[in-house]
Amino acid sequence: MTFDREPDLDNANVGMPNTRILGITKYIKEVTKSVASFFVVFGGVFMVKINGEELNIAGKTVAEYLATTSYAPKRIAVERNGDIVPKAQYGETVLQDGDSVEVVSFVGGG
Amino acid sequence: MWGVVNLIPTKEEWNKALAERHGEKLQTKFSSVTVAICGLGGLGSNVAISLARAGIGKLILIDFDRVDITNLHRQQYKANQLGMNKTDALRDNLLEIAPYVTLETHTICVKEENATHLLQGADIICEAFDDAECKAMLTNLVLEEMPDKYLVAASGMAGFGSVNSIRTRKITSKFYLCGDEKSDVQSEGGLVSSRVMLCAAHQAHTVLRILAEQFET
Repeated sequence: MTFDREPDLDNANVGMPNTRILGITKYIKEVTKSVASFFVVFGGVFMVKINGEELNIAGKTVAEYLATTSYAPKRIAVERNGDIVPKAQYGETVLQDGDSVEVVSFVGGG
Repeated sequence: MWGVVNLIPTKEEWNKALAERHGEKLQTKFSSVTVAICGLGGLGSNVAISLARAGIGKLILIDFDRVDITNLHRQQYKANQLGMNKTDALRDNLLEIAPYVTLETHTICVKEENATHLLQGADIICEAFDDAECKAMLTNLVLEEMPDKYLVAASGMAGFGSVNSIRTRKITSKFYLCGDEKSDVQSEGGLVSSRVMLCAAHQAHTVLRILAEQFET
């Protein structure tokens, strides 16, 4: 490989970041990230919508959530983000931030 | 006096009359599908009559019970049918109304063990039981095990509540729920013919809308 002219070694550092400024930028970025995480955890961003109501229960399983309610287990069907949650999977289905869930609770008569 | 001549129309005449009402394309679709009706009480007997009149090709009718005097105020049976299997009585009544509908009857209680076998031929399933646990059982079973089929279920139609609180909601792309979702027969003190029929009409109409590809949003 050939060059039109010799590399200008006196200017070889042009374009290299100033390490002191880089350190401060990195620091600011880290702090911003920590603050954001704080709000995600404590500011209620982990919300699950259940029958239209926003609940701070992301991370719980469907079974754990149902245990806190008065639904009769044998009278319900649970839909999550457009799909039915199989009954056998209530214990392992973890509710995620932003999930939309509908618990259909049947009443008698027909 | 002129006597009334009760000639049953031919199948061609029958289909032509339906096609004039619903359009040829839609009527062809109606006549090509099978709808299963689980439970032939106030909901199921009324759903069956609406769908047979609309020209649905085949109905699978399932109920273990017999016609009782306490059924007659809201279910589509006659006083002279007391004691008959609901499947047999409804078959007779439907064939008087719509002589060319194809019927398959099962005098049996739908359970988790037999539901897949009973319902395998259906395109759309109507849940029309009266017991809340049976409703939930069938709903979970159909949506879990038969994901290609539509389910139209009903919940909440007892009592004298407003007609305007009966509604149809799309829960998933395959699951529609009709009723007010609240009025339990235990707390409302009984079922009133007109309100049960209304809910059954929601179910039957939802079946037809699914076939017409006019889905709820």
